[in-house]
Amino acid sequence: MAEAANTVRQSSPAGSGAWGVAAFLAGWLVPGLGHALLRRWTRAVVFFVAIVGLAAVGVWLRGDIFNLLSGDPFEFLGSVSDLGAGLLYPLARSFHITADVSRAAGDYGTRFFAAAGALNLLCAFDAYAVGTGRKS
Amino acid sequence: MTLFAAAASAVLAFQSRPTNRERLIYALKAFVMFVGGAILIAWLLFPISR
Repeated sequence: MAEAANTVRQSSPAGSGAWGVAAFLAGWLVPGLGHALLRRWTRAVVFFVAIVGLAAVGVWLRGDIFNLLSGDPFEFLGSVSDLGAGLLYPLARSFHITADVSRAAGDYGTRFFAAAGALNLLCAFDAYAVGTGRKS
Repeated sequence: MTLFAAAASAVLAFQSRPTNRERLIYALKAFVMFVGGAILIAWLLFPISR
């Protein structure tokens, strides 16, 4: 069992800067994809389910998906966090949801989506560390 | 809140711990701290909320 795990790990394409950048970009665009490229399947599935789940609940609760080009500095800061969710950000914006932050649920939804973005960025940096070989 | 705590705990555990056993322990601790911390802060703020 341990030998099989070692064989998988040895055949993993990690260990170079190019793989690190590729894993970072893939992991940022689609949660978990960076780890999937590096054959860290369990982590890839956990990150995908957790981050897409948080983002989906955020949209379902009619949270505010901030507009990057609104000109408002606070909205811009929020959109930076939302952008961390990668392709989930334009996908969520494409639903044209009318945010309802007058209710607690809508406010929670805003935080859920922003948290999904922040967590996805952490995962993308983790994928970079694995891709460059600094982390197993 | 518990959904957020569960998702964040799982992600942080898988990022920071190498073995499944350590991940499980870390995730449980983080989950309890997220939820317990929120309940504690809620009770601390309760007197000034009225």
